[in-house]
Amino acid sequence: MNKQKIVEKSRSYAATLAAGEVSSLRIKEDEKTVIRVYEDGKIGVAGRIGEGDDEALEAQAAAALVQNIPYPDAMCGGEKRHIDLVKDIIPEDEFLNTVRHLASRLKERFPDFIFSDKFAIEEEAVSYSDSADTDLSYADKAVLVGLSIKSAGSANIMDLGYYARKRHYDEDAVVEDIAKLLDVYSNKLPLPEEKLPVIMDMSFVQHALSHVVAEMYASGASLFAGKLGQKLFDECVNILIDRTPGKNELSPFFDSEGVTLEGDKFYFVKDGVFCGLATYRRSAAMLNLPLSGCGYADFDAVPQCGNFRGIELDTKGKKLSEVFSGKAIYVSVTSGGDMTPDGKFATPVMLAYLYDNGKLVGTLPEFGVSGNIFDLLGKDLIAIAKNDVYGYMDEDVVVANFNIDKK
Amino acid sequence: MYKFREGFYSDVRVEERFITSIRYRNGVLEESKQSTVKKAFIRVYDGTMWYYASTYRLAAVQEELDKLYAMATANTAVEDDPVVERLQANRETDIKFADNCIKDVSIERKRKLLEDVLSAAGSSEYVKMCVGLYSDRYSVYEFCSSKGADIKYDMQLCGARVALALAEGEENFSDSEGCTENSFEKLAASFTAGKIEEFAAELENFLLHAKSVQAGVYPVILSPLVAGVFAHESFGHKSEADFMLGDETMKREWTLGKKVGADMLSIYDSGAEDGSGYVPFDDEGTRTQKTYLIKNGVLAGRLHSAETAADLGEDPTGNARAINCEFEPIVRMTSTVIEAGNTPVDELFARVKHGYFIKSYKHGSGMSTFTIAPNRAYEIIDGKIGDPVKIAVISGNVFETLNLIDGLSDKAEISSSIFGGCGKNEQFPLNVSFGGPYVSVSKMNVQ
Repeated sequence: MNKQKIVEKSRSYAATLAAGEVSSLRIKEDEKTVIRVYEDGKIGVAGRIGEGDDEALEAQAAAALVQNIPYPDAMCGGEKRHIDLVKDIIPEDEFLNTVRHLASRLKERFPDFIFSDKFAIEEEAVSYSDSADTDLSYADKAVLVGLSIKSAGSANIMDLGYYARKRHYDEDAVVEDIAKLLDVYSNKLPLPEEKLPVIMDMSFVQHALSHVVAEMYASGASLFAGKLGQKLFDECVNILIDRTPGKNELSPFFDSEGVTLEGDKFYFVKDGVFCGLATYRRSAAMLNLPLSGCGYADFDAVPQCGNFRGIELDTKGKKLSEVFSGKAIYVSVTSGGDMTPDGKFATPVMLAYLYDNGKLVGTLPEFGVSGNIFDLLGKDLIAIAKNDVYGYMDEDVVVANFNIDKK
Repeated sequence: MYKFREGFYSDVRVEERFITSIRYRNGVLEESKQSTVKKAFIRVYDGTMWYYASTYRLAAVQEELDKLYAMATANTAVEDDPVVERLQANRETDIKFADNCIKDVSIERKRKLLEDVLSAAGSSEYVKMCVGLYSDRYSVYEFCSSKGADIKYDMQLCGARVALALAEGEENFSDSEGCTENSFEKLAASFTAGKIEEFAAELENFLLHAKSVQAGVYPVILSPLVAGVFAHESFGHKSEADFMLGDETMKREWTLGKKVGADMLSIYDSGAEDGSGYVPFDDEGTRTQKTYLIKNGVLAGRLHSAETAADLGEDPTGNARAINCEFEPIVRMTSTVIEAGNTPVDELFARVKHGYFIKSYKHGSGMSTFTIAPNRAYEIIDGKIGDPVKIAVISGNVFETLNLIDGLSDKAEISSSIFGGCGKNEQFPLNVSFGGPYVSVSKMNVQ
């Protein structure tokens, strides 16, 4: 009987900002252990919160084989790799004062805005081992600066947000980033008469992810059905999972089934060609496809497809100011947004800035953007780049000729 | 029992959560599990700051409490603090589901319920993938506080859902249909093969006949399900009083009695409704209640925790909620409902020359603009439901749209779901429900 053991430990220190003041401190700790056993093409799973007896847990997992859930009995290949990225960011005894200092500075520097939400230090350690002698572990620690920002007197719940997760903390850089957004916030500009390109994060691409899931693709009900191997997008489009250790915070280099990727990367789209499907062990075995590291399991659940940690549009290290010059509309906050079955994406834009040669110069009235995903990543695509308006927050953006739907 | 120290307000919330999860894909069993998790959330307040701890080590709750006391500063006047004054000290046991507890239904019966219905999905030749889900939850909460609160209550939900993906050539369409009830017997009665056959036939019509729309502004009729999500997203979130904390302008702007919508519009939130918004006490021990947010078009109330109620000089409403014992309670909705009007449904449709009927949705969101991503939507031509249409989103400015409501049907329906829920800040999903009648809006952006 083959078996897998996954242990996840986490600890977080989180402060809440309410109306610009630190109103609470939360300490959270968790430890989860899961054992999966495989026998005669079946899987049994058992999970435990906290410490305990692994033999008893394994017996529970073995007892769960009676559920008769088919699952391929495939273990990893005995890989051994241990990554520890944990470094001190802010000592716990200085945590509250650090947050209070930021809150006070934001209040003084931006008196017309109210800041709320969370500032946290998050630490995670995940290990995977199996009966094929695989032994993987990953530990990481990051600071989350997650701020909801409201213009005083606005009828909105929030007007904009600033969310950065990093392995180092730099208060000056955070304030400087926020200044880029708020110093020009009150400079209200009309929507430009001429049609300008739109700069937007990659959230619109995520609406297409369900269509690259192997089971959906194989069923024929995917937007991309029958197109594997075809060039669907501009040749500068690369959509991939990049799990290079250190690249993304709190993102293990292996999935919930211990699957690692060659070069820590898996491409769904390479040079514009649709070349890969999202798989986990069950779908990869059933459809004879390569593993993409998308195995996901919520605590003691049987794995399924759903782990897209590290998904990105490859910028190839290019910066926005290097690859695009001139004026554009930078979309900062959208409301909802979705895609129709034939690939038309549309979303209302709550907050957008006029972008002019690397700088945000003022805010625009509300409008909507739309476009077909094949065009937005094809004939209407201008560039994919890192948004270097910000110095601390990481954001990859697409520049494309979206339709502007004026209100 | 816990030793609460003087000079602080403190409380301990413990939840024991039993869940079942079953999943079939194309007739093959992919998941079948039952598990129970018990955790505690501890709060200490010193009149200035809240200190929280979440732990799975139930034997160490007192130890965690003592650690929080050591971080806080004792305050002899803490009992006079406006927040503490507003925290209730209810002492009650309200175990409602012990006699028909979902834990007592075998997992084999739960699987059979799903199996019996899944075969109906094959009634359309265009169904290429069929995923069947069963999920249930039985939670027992225990809450006690330094003010003397001592509460024990339970909640229960069970639901089943079928997701279908259809394809024909290059066309595809996917959607899901399900039921959520508070007992297995009710679920078994409402989740039937006939219902799924009808659903598959409707999706087939979409696949073969749905047409694109020209983006623009149109009259729209929302189904009770979509009207519910509209109420939740458009005004419910705005009624959560934590967004007013520290904003004096907003407090003046949102004075109760202000006209905010059409005269016919009344929206309430209530934890007492059966279903996925049911909760007899919130997560700081306050008894839930029915709170009108809008009554006849006028701002009538808002949703509070003790903290926000104290800040606005109002009373708590029992809306301090957390998704589980890993998080602190924040102001959230329970069951948010638009009250029925008095127009027959047919008459609402008859008034529309050319518009759209939004029957089901994928998701919604709301700030100054609310957005709903429809799934099944139909054209309305000369008062009749016509062809299915592909719409990415419908949206509108919240306050403008509340004033553009020009008709409410004469019966409200409340929708529950154990699948998904409401998200706010870091906390997702919270079990809520919502509903309303058919709602006619004279102008809405359609994209």
